[in-house]
Amino acid sequence: MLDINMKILVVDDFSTMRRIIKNILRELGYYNVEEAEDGAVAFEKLKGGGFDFVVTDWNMPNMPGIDLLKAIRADESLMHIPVLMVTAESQKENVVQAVEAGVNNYIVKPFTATALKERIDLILEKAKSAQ
Amino acid sequence: MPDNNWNNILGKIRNELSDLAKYVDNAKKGIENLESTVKVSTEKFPEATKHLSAVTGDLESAANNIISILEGLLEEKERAHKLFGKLAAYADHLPAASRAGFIALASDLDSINSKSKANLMDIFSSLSFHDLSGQKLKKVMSAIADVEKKVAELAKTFGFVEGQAVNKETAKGKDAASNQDTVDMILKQMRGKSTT
Repeated sequence: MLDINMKILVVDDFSTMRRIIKNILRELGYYNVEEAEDGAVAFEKLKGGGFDFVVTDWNMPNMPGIDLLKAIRADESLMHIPVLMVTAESQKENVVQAVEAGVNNYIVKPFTATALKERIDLILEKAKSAQ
Repeated sequence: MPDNNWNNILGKIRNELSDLAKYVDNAKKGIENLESTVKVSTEKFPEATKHLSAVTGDLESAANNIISILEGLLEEKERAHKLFGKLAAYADHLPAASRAGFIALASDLDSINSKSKANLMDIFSSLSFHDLSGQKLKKVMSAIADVEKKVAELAKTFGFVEGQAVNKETAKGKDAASNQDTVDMILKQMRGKSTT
């Protein structure tokens, strides 16, 4: 069940971006937020269980966001988790690749708190209506 | 007559050899110049990359400092919001005539507080400039690494210096979608396939 208490994993190689997203999420009422500095660390954390939502960057060392997304969708225990991509990559081919890999929504940096809220709400609404 | 022909031929060969010697000499000088250019380049490229990397680090450090200040301000705003709530509760103890005015005043103050809190959130999201500039600097560093690799290959070919192993991905020239609207349009078009 997705709600305001859901556990969110924020994945970005820049500590500043993780803090920015974490603070915006907190402002939106989501306090249960954890961080990971790349896709590989994120995947390990996700495998540990308990996460309801992933906000990830695209460009990261070790495992980029697109590979993390593919790994999540390929894993039976994780494939249901909504993934929001927050990235500077706004090229059409990137968006298409992300959609094909199963991204739930996509935000281009720089973004506003309102934009982040709108997309999270949209994902949650669709997830609820699909239940 | 045959002697004259032979002398002519020898003269021509001498001239050709002289031209060839000049050409070889020029080529040699060119290679020497190239060698010094390559040597300077192999020193300068890593230096440039180091500086760019330092800029990224400095930006991150500055952005983290600003975020810490913002986090402190947000906490104060939250505290102020709670205090305005408590202040409004005092209205019950006031005479009826002044109660409405007091509540409106507390409400106005809380609105100002909320507005400035929203501005703080805008500053937060604006700080993503660091991430964006950092990614662009990474692409510049990647391009420098590519040039450095080519120069190192050139140096190795001519035997100037040992080739230096440089990896890093090539910066790709892609057509950038202009903004979020474009991305949303693509998402909308593709929705119904796999997005929620």
